[in-house]
Amino acid sequence: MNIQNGFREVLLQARATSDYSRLTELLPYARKIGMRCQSLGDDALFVLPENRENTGNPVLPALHGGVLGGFMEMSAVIHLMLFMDEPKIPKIVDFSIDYLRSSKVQDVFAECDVVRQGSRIANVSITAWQSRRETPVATARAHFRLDS
Amino acid sequence: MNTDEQLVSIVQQFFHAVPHCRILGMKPEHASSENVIVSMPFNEELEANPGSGIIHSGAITTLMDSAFGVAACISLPDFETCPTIDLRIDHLGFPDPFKPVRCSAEAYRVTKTVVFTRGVAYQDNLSEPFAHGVGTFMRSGRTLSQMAKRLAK
Repeated sequence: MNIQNGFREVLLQARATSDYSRLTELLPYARKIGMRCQSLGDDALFVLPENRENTGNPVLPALHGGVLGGFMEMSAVIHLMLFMDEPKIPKIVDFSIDYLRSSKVQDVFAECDVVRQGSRIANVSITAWQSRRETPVATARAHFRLDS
Repeated sequence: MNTDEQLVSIVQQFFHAVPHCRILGMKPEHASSENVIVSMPFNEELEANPGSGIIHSGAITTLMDSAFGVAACISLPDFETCPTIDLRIDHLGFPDPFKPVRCSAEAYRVTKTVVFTRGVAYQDNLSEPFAHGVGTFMRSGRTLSQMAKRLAK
């Protein structure tokens, strides 16, 4: 999967200006679940705004755990694309998520931390929360291949 | 004891009641005491990159979480609903572009509080999976029929 020209331009511009708003519009799955990305100082903050289409338990109601996972995975991909030395599209190797609390059908936020980036593999940890950063709804860890 | 046809119908109703599963078009192709097979059509809105035809791994996570959760639920005597405790997915490769995907899931151990599940995601051939997963689910004590009654109110 190569970075298509249109997307590459937007990515390079996002990296240069710290304006990340256009990135998620160009990624179909990100757009489908309605996620967004904004700069937070030198870092990126990912947001999955309240969206009834993302409901997994209509009785509680609660967010679909799979969507939360997909959002955190996509956050890690975008985070790597923004902060790696060379802009590449990381390819997922594995993904592991722990659900800590039931997540409500409300805004979710996520932050990523590149724990280790080697020449071929990156390890990223992702934390997602709703009301308070101190009470995460899920933590996740993903490995990505960086070779093209 | 429910027949496999009844189990398929129960899973179908469940997916219909869960907005995000309905939107992704998840359908049970098979359900029995052994395993559940759930299909999800290709949809360009789920692509990783526009025009690639490849469904993003996040949507595969959603498919597998849903199939594992349903496998956990129907493995229990009264079809208890089971929230996910944790989930791990290994991406063995990419799915073929522009084609539907499937997940086969089984609950391989049930305890008083927890259900252990595992399964694979594949397309045409179960023996050629592009993803493998394990998931642990918590027994909620609330049944599907209780959930349906509360929804009907």
